Amino acid sequence: MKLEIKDLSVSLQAQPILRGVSLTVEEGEFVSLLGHSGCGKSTLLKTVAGILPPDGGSILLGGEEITKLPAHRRGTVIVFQDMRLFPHMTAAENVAFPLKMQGVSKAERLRTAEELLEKVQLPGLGQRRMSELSGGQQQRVALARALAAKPKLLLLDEPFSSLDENLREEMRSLVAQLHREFGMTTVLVTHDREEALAMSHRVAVMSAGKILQYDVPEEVYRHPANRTVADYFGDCCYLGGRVENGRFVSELFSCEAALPDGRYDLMLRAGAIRTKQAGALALTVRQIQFRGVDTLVTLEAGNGQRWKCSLRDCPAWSVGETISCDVTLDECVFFSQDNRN
Amino acid sequence: MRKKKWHIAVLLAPFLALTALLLLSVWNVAIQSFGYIPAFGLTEFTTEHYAKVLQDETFLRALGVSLRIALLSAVLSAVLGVLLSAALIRCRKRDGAMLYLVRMPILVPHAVVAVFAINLLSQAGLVARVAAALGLIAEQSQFPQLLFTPDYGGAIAAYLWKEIPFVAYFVLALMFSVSDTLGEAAENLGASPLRSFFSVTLPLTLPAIVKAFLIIFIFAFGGYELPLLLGATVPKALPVQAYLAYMSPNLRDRPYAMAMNGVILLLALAMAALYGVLTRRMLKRMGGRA
Repeated sequence: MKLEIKDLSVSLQAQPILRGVSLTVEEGEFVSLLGHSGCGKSTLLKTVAGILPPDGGSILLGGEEITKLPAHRRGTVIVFQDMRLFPHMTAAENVAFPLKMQGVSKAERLRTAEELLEKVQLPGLGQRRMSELSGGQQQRVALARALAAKPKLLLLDEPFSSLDENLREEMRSLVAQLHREFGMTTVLVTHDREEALAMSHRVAVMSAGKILQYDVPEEVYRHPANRTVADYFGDCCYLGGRVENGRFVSELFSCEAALPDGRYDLMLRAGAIRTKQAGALALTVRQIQFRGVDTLVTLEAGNGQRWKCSLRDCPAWSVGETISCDVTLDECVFFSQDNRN
Repeated sequence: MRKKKWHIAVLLAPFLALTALLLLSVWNVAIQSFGYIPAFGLTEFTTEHYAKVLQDETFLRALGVSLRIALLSAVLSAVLGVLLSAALIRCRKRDGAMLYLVRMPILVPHAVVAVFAINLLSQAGLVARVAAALGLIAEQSQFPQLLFTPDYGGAIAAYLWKEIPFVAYFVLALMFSVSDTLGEAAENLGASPLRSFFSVTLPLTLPAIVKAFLIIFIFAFGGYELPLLLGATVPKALPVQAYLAYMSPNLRDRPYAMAMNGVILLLALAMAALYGVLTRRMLKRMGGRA
């Protein structure tokens, strides 16, 4: 169901955590809240689920106001980072728990539990206790249990961060597959940039209790709204310079720029550097690391800034050599220095 | 390596000394209860003292009194202590003055509690005097007899005053942590706060509650001061009866007193065994976590 958050503020122990957050998630959409720990993304999730009370603002689910509704009547289910499975129940009983709370008969709910355990690729493990399951299996049970509640809104609170890299990849594709199948409106909280970009229809980048940018992954990555968002995705360096008469001039590089005159920082990511075309940017090769799939080349500009470029076919450069590169301007962003944010 | 062994021996010494003392006493009780006390001229092993104890009306009534005190104190303390914990959790009282107030009775010695009770609740006590002064009752002797009754209500009430906070203290930390994580998860999955408490928080706190229950049961079963100070003259509680038998001026009664102690010892061991079995079974049911 469609989720609308309007001007939400939340404090914890008299500390303001969220300051006037507004966010709309369309029905069936998969949205990620991305930010460093402590930015308020988990707080936002818990407030939507009714675990934390807001100071102000409103939350609407499917057009209905749920701000004052107690947690158990909201139909918003969180998959917690620490899973929170019930250790005194079997896997099947865990999955059947929300159905029991809904008053579904025992035979019916255990049948549904078995079906869901199959959906998360744990067929036949229904009778296991939590201590007899691995971390990855427990995460799948937690996911099945959340699905069993048939939530109007599924909330994932860093559900993969306790898993190792291989399992994480597997769980991501499982969640993506289940999202396609069930079409549930889903909000994922994560600090993993690639996870957010790869899984979501839209990404909301958060910092210090505010949403800085909310857009499709390509836009958020390629055209960050400000330097904080750009820095979150990393791999970027800034060239300070001036725009005068439609031309940006810095000590390393100059280009056309249809901007009002003033001082600007040009955000330049490794991906925007075209090493194979000679151009206006002179860079020194500092390191060459062959990694099998690609080669990672560290390039340094005259002012000491460095970029790491991944190249499929690396020319026969030697360390210390200076090369001349071109820059793709569609992947660069100008930030005005005069009103920095 | 050799030095390490010495360390262990030195560190263990006090424990071993205490254990030896305990075992020696148990051994003493055992042989004396079978009628073997050469110092008193008793050298023949016999089970007749046990037979006598088990047929003795006074002993059986004392046993009944102690079991009743232990059972009522432990059950009521556990139930009311859990309710107190649940209330504290519902009000989110995690620390502060309230918790200190709850903990205070745990620190007060049993004998002092008995004196409090007598000062407050006896017919000559503060409450009776205030009630008489206010004209609620015509004279102090009309105040209901709460202490020194054969049902041991006074002793049980004193135990409750001390042990309800003990249960809360024993259970609260675990209950808070379960409620904060798994209880929250249950509500998130559609359980009302009440159902979340009964289907998740309470079952997962049960091992601690049962432990507290058994500690109180065993303690109140063997407790001496409260039944002595707040109970009736007849029937007496088991520890009081056993002490009287032990203090009998006729030394040839000693095997009888020791047989009484032997029965108390066996009952205590049985309870300790039950404690072990229950704890292990519950740990297993919780999937090895508690």
